[in-house]
Amino acid sequence: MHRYIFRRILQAIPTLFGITVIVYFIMLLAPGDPVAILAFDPSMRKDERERLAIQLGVNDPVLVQYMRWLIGDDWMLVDTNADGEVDAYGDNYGILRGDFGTSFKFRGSNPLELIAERLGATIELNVAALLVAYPVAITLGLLAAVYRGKAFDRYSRILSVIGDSFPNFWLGLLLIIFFGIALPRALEPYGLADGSPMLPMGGRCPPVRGGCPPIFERLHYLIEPVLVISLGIVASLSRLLRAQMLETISSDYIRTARAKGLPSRSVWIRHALRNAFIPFTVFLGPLLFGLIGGSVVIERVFSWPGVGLLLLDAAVSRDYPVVMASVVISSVLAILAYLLSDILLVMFDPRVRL
Amino acid sequence: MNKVLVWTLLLLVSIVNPISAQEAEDAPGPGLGGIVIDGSTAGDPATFNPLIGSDTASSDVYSWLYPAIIGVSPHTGLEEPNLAGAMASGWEYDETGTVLTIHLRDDISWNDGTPITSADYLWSVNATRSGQIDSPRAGIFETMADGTPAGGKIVSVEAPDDYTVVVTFNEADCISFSDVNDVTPVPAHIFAELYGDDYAAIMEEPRRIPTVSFGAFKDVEFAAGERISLLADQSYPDSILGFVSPSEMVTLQVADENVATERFIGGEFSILAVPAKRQAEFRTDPELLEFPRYEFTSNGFSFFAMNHANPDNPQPGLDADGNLIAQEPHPVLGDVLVRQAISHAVDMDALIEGIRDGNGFKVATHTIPTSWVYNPDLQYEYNPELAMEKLTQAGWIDHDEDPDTARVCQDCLFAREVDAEYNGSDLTLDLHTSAGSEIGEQMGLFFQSEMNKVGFDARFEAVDWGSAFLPELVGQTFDMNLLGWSLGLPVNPDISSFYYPEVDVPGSGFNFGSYYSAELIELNDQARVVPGCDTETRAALYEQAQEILFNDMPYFYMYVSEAMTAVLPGTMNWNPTPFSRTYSIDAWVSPALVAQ
Repeated sequence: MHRYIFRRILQAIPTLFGITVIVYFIMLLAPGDPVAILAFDPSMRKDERERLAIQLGVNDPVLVQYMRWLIGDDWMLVDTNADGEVDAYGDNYGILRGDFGTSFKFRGSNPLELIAERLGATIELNVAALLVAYPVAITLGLLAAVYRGKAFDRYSRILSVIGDSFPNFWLGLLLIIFFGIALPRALEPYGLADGSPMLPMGGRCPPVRGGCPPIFERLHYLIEPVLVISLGIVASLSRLLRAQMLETISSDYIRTARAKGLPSRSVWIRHALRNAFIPFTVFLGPLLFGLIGGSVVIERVFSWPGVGLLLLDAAVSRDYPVVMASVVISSVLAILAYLLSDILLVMFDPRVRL
Repeated sequence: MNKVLVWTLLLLVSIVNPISAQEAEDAPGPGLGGIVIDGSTAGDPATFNPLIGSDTASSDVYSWLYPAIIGVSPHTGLEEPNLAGAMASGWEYDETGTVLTIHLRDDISWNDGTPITSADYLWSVNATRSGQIDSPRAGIFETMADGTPAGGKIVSVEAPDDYTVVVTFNEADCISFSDVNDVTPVPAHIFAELYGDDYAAIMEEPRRIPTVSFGAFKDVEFAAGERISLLADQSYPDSILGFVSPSEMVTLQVADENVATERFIGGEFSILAVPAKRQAEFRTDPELLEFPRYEFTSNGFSFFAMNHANPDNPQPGLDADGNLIAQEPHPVLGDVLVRQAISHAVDMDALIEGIRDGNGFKVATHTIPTSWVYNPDLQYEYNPELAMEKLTQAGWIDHDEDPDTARVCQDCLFAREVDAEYNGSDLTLDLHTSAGSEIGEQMGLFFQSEMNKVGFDARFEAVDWGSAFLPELVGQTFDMNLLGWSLGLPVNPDISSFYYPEVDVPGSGFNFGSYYSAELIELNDQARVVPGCDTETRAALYEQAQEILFNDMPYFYMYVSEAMTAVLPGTMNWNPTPFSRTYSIDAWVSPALVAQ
């Protein structure tokens, strides 16, 4: 196992390198100029814009820019005062030496720090969503298979359709209005509410000073966003599990188990569920990775301070250092996610050997 | 007439003004007025340092923490002496108009007790001029500290004593007065201790939390992507009530304006800039009528930029020696008759009513109704017949008498002056707006429809801002692009940043459309050097300039947004003005509900 993991990590290095090359070149060759975006200000003169372009290094050929990003420029003479003449060694060390440069938009800020200060919120939200979604999806999928064709199966299918088809943004806004305005106002005349929102209408922490309290003191901030994320996961995973269960339950070994007179519960839970669980489990790694990078809509509607909105903004404003830092982090996470899937597969399927 | 309208507008504004300064109600006491919670879609601030900040999110924070050297009145939008939160008690020019002496108040201090003096302003000037920091304001100086030309007007800034600043300009120029305010004073005793002469070190800690400040609020607490909190500073000497009423001011990040509106209605925000699409709801919905609101004509306008030069061959306005370059006209928009035809083809009243729910004030130039040079007589007439007549006059004829097909060139300007083979070409134009704005896209479609009714083949498309809209606009390869623009304060009618050939530079200049009028430039230049910067004389010159702009139609100016701000019911001492919705915030008593 250890040798397999080590080999996979070694294989990941050229993959990671390839990803950075492709993304960097696509990003720089795409239309759009960071200086035009940063300097969209009539009070800025042409020479100031040119100085900014030199300072950011965006006038260099794409290959030079990539090399500066990768291995730094402290070994080469560069134009540090933007007067058109190279005059001193640069001060970037490149990502191979752990220097991700500085953000174009948030001048002087380290892209890794910008991502790190938001990553916790993203992980918190998505792990919470998975912790809620997986048990619910397993229960629904299992029961839908057990009661195939009956009312529970039909209702769970309706829930799946709703979960798959409702746009997250719309559903999120509905929840905000319902728990924040409609329900409190409906209950107020009966003395059951004081008119104030029954659940927070956005954010991750109370808007008061003193930092964010521990998560168990602010679980109510998670309810609405987790509900919206979970609904989509439950919808797809429960149907996946149901299909797997039905396929497994018609296998020879299940028929044998039944013929031996094992109780139905034992057949479903101990024999069928374990095998049906295999594709379901290996889905966890990529799903977790996908959630971390893909919760922009949820962050937007619930004002959740995660990395999604930061990265979207970085891409729109052509903040190359932040985009590239996120690409490196995402690539590493993707590689780890697939590795995790493989390890889980070994754990759940004894037929697989690494 | 101008003044009558401006005063009428100000009067109207004061009628809907819920509270006047004189009527300030009692507040419970220092820091007992609740927490003011505002929502912001501006994103995270890049810095808390006014010397290097250039984004709105940053200035929204540091403007609470540092004084301006010259205050801008929240009532008039103009510079005035002895204003709250500002240093200047008066100023005068010498007889040449090039030396400005500013007298400073001697009754204000930083919140650590150190008096605010000319040394504070001078430290900021030296840092900005050093060239060691990325300051967007370095361009106000004639040269940088090392002698490198910087292109601005300020030659020197001196501090003969603690309460006097002397600014010397390289020429008399009325609009350069505002340049003085571009540099924000910082506490020199703190900054000198932190950085000494190593101004470059400022860049290494853009989000350093200010420890000493001057204003109604202090002590920044920042949570990325989430909130910025400021505490009341009871040492602020310019507070309306003699103390700062709210205990805290919190700005929460909200990425979506609909969510912000719902959170405000739910009581989570104290104040809301009501989005245009929701304003009618606040005027009519019985449940929302209880929210006190303030409506005013804002300083932001929308316009269709029009390219006057050939987009296939973008050229700068001037050559390397500063001589004017004669540019090829735009095949369609190069002819003023066509531009005028567009102004008559589009029913702006219908657009404002139908798309913006009536929230817009029709304008014909870049001067807004609250500006001191606004001319209400300049209005484009909606008259499709006249539009078609102008097109015919311009050589764009309806060859098949079918209004649904595009007119064609028959001896139009481009065929006459550039290429005779252009005859027979369709009257085609590309209309672009930045994707993502629902209202912008609706307006683009409306323009397309209206223009096509009079014989254009207008093709509207919403395109990505960064990769398509901005490159073609700044690169001068566009036909007509829809833009929104917000004017800073004080309102400045000068057009040198927009219509001078010096800023007609493909790739960087703001004269996107390559518009040029020698007469307009002459008038603008005259207005800048009026002896004593006499307002009436300048206004008369700017009025003539407006008429040229009206007739030449460099751009299609559409409307100024009618803005609405609302606060929670029960908010006390809210006294907004057209130029500041949070003026009087230090006297507010806010009932915002804080979720725990």
